[in-house]
Amino acid sequence: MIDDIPVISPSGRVDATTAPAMEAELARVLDAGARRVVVDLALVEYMSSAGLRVLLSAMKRLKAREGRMALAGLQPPVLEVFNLTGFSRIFSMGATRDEAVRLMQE
Amino acid sequence: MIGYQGSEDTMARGNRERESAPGEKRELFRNQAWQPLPGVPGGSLFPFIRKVDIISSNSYLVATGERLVLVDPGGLPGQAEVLLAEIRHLLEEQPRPVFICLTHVHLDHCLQLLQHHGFRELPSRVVVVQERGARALETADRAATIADIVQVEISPLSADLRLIGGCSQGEEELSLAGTPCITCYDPVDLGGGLVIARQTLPLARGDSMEFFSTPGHSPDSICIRMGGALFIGDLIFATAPAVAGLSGWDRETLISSLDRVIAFLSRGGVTACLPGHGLPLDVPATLQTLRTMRIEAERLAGIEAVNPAWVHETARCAEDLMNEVERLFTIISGKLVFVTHMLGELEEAGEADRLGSLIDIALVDDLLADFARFSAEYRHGDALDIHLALKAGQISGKLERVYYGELLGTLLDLSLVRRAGRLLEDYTTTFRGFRPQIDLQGTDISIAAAEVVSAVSRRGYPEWDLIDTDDQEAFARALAVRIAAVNPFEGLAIEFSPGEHLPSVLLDRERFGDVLLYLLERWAAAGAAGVRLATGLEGSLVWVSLDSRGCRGPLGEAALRFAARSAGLSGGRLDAGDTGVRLEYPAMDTDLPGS
Repeated sequence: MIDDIPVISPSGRVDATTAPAMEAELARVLDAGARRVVVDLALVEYMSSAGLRVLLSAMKRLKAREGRMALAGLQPPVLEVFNLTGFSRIFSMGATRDEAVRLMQE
Repeated sequence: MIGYQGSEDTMARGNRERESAPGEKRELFRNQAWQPLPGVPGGSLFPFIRKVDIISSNSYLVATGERLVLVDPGGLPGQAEVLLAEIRHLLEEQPRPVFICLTHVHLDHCLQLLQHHGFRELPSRVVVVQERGARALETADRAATIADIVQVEISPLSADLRLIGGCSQGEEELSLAGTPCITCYDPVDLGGGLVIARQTLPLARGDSMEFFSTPGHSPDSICIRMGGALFIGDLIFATAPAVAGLSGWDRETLISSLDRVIAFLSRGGVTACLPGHGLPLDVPATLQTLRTMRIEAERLAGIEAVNPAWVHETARCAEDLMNEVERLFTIISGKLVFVTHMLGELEEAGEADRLGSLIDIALVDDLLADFARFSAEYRHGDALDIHLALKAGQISGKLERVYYGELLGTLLDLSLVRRAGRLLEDYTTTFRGFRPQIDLQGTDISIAAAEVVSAVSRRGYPEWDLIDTDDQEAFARALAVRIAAVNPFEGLAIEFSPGEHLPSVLLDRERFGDVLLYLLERWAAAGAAGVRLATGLEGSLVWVSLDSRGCRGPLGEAALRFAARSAGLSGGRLDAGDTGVRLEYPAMDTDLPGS
């Protein structure tokens, strides 16, 4: 939590095996009523479409309550996937966790 | 045994007896349970059937009043413990000779015979092996036993009875485990000019064990008949990738053996075939498999030898290729997720649903995750080259089956879709023992390079589609294509300096384009501001150079290795520097400018 904004920090590979864990953590935060969330991906070395779908699903849920989400610290392989799939068009992204938190405070 | 230890616990599981659901095919035999041996009054069978892998085969234990017969002790100590416990129990009830018969001497079938003290300590043990296999065991032949590929140390072992392969006729008196018995050499005339060599030993009062020479998978391969059961070793796997081509594999001999076994089974008398791997089969299913294999075997002329060097190179190829497969398939799946999401937002649910079915995204994810996990184990030293090669073969085969490139190409960039499909095809071809298909044509390299430069600058969708259509469905499709269009080279300035009057080169144009696109994509992802692309001539080599500027760092080793491999398949070779690479192709025209 930074300035009352929950921060999720998955690590390693986020794929079909591990995406459910990230999903569960996001669900916990959203069930608690959060309207702004930062997902810090600085320690994520790879994200599959399973991970993308989890983020998308969380973003939709936040949007329904006029909330927002920002991603932070995307590593080059993950950033490449976001850029090439079009996901970078729909997610707010900060180079660092602090930058992403600032985006949520604006 | 050095190997993939992760499968040790599978030997404790099996297909336990259970009630079949209505319409469900019933198992022919219960796993790890005693049951009557069909066609041998008083004979019993204890099958040990495990999952299909190269660690250990199935084992089959047969008991009659006069002897015990173990077909293939297998490769795992836990499996051996189960079998030895059954054998010891039976010997306590009634001492009798124990015949250990090997369908062939590949270590997954017999390693425990060589290593487990329990088999050494068996009283009245008789080891029965075809003579070529017996020689291989006596000399601890690493190639014949595939000890070289599975990287296991073995000690010599002497067989007690060496089965002959020729079509002799007659009888011979033997003393086996201190007991006299008669072995008969009695080939079977199968009709149509086909004869199969057969040697028999007594099994029980009035019944025999019959050993049939069926080389091909290996020179020492045999099938063993006891009553209505035919133990067929690895016959039905003999054309499988990375199995065909093993040391001692012979295509012509295999075809000949397939013909003989098909003819033999067609005569009747056998009711079940028990393979070295996988579940037992009835005769119709076996015949169908063998006939299909015969067709496959015809196509296997010229495959590469499956030896440690091939295995090592194929494992390297698997790693590099699967890295790129993961990247491309993640992009493809991710694009589909993005586009279906956006269409949903735009209330085009119908088109969203249609696109969602273009590829099974969840399955693709599962397969990539499966390979990633395995790859991690491999890098940790818990799996061998051969295991990685096999795993990549399994995964790429499954991906190929769900990959409909033509359909995906209606939405996504054709180059991306085609490259992903080609990678899968290249690996399954390599894994099969063939070389990937290359189409070398005389080409002006400057023109070929210019095509690539033009393609990366081109928008991914026609401008007029959205404007000109009245049809709602066509509008939704055009919208989807527009949404899916992401230019990976946006922001990458490409300066192209083509050489003039360059001699033609022999290259595969599509693969050449793929290498250039791959390099440009990697540099774009690495933050390059621009790439200088040039072509020229040096001596008898026509070159294409690509130099990046503004990159965060040089391309990684894995990326360069993949690019070098791809360049090779395009007909050239790749040299890498700190900020760039150079591809070189031999000039076709020896009448060079200035000469």
